[in-house]
Amino acid sequence: MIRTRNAAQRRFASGMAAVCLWVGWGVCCPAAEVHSEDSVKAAFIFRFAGYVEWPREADASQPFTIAVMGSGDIVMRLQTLALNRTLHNRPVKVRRVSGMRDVADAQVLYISPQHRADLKNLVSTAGRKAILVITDEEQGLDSGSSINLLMVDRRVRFEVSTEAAQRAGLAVSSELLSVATRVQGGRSPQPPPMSSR
Amino acid sequence: MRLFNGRASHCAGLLCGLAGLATMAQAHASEPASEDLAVLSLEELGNVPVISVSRSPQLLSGAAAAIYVISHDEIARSGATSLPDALRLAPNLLITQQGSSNFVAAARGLGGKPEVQNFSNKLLLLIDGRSAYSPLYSGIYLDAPDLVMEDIDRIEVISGPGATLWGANAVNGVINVITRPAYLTDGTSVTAIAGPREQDLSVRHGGEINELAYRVYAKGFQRDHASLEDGSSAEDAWYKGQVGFRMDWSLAAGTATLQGDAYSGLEDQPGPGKQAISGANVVGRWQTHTDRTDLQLQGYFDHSQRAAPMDGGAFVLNTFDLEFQQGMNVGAAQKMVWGAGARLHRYDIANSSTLLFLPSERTLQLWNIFGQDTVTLNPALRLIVGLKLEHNSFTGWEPQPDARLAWQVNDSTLLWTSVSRAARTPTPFDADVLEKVGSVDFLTGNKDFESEEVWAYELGYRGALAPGLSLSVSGFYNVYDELRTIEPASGTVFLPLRWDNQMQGHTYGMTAWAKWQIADWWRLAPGFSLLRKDLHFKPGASGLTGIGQSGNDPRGHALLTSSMDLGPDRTLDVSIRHVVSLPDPALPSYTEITARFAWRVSPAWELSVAGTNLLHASHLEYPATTGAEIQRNVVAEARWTPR
Repeated sequence: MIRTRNAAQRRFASGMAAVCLWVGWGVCCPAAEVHSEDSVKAAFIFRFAGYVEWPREADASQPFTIAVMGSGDIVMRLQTLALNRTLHNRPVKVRRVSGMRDVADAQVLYISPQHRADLKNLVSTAGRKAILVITDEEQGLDSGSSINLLMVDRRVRFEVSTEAAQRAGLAVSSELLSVATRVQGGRSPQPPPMSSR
Repeated sequence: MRLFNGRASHCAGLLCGLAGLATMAQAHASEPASEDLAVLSLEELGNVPVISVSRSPQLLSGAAAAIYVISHDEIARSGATSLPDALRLAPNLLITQQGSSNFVAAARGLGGKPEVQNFSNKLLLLIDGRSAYSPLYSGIYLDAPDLVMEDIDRIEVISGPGATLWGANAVNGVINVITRPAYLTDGTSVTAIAGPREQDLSVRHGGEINELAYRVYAKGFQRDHASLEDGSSAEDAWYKGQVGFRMDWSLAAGTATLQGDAYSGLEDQPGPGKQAISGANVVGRWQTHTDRTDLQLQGYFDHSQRAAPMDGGAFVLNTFDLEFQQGMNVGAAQKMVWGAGARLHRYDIANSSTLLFLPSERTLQLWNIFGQDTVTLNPALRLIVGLKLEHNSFTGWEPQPDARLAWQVNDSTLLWTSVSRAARTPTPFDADVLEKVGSVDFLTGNKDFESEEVWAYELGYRGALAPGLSLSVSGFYNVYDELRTIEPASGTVFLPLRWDNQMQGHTYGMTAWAKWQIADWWRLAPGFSLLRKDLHFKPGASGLTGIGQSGNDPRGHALLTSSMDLGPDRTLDVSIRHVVSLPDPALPSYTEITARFAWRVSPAWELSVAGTNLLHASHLEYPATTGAEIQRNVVAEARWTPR
């Protein structure tokens, strides 16, 4: 059991009691919170889909699928985001994939930096389908991806290649382009964004 | 090792794997949920500062505690083949190898003195939320828990009390080993390690069936004996085999995990026969997240046993554990975590003629309830207050409070301070033991044995000094009371002796480490720990076996690791450690080097050469004859991971 052996400990004990009361009243102010890189990236990946239009809308009963190659932390964070949310009016499914054979039914593919060695191969395989490929690598757009995540001054930013998106048959909204750090291939007019933000 | 071991036959100590609080790591984390981010606009998202450029989870980066996270990569690059090897990577932890299979872990001192039957018992080890702390003698059998090294996601080493979240016995620290979810370990991986003194083989296969990811593994090794001072064998070679699995389901409502291991090992000992250890466990966990709350339910069963044929001592221990916890946001400024748990230990000890437990068969109950609140006082200041009430079979209720203040001075600087209490609760070894010398009762347990306790006061800094250079510094002042001593059981005759709580005092010290990315291809990681002790007996105590019984602790130890990428497919890692001299019994300071060179010759094949304790043919980490000479060990390793 606790024994208050000296004055300092007694002071601490009474201090703790006071703090508990005070906490109980729910004093306080809004939080400025610091997030991990992966959680911010996951939020971006999730949100991008709302600013992109796919050529043919699949059966709405089929889940909207985000495939992740690599980092498990992002998978977990995306799965959290996917609960109770929809994209393009469809329930969202997040899947970790290990190879290209698994991405056929995906609308979004995120390739983590772990796969930097064969990024070009991966992107060119995926790029033949209507998949929004998101890379996370310096010069990532050079591999042919549509969106690339960047770290700038301890913040997550992104760049967009409209050329790559068009090749994949995807239309990217101007709103997304306006926030991008860099746009490769010009900010040509795009259809308005759709559905669930 | 210790109890039921030939060499230290009636010294005590036992093995096992036990209870724990599940992924409290997550609860402990002070990072907000990703949920909060989903409501931000793209522009706002781009302005959210992030705390790390690391790819590994950094949930604890904002935590107000002295935490060192050993990453998956660090373990892989170090060439560690066992858990104790991997634990050497943490500068806030001291690992002492006393024999081939005998490892002792301590943080902030009080690391035990086996000569007087005091064992390192103020550090908790949890493996995916399952405790590996022995409830029989209090301490960790580090020869029992093992893992396939590449399945470990990270090891969080927290120095300082962690009792509010993790429970009793987290007095001077907590080690949380967290393995990768099965969906991160798909495919096949075969690792073979061979050298004159060590041979290991591990095979793992993982895959996915719809929403279910799984892996299964098997691992086996043999380690040669350590040696005695005259160069002869310490007769402590050991052999171990282990199999296990993990399954993770991602379901719409949450995630479910089922995992388990089974192992069996033999350890040579002087004299006839071998010490046999074995165990098995299964852990189930359910986690679900909604907008405002996280829920986790975890249960496990753990069986372990150990038998030393030489003196006939043995035990069987079964542990059942159930834990629940919930985390939630309360208003804009508060995050609360609360939970409750219950644990049952059933054990049966086969008494030897010199070491008896009375009763030898017993069921111990442990239950707890805890709560912790994180209050954001203003954008830069967080207050974390918590309390765990834990009830044990020996001393009843143990309150273990904790208060922390974290000040995020700017993007790159965190200052924190804390006050907390933790208890090392009694075990059958404190309360029920009877040791005999011939027919004479030599030492008896004490039914009124109190918990050893600490009030810890800590102060810390963590931050980035420059791009690529991060630093963590923490200091502590620990006030201990009721530390265990040996006293005559009655005032009139010397024997029998009895355990008592007649020591108190304080310790203080600091730990610091840095990570310096000198260039893209080169990282240096220096770190050190310092310790000073000022303990004394209470008035009227016998003073038997001296103040030194609290632990034969060095006044400091240091670690410097260099990690180099030599081109895209070659790595070289070298680690130097220095441990200051031990006082009583005395041992000079020592320095040792561990190194590994690895070459990925093709996408599927990695070859490496690794050596531990390279500076000397053999060295002592603990004075003889308790400690044996640990020999230089060089191995070649091949890993095959076909696509």
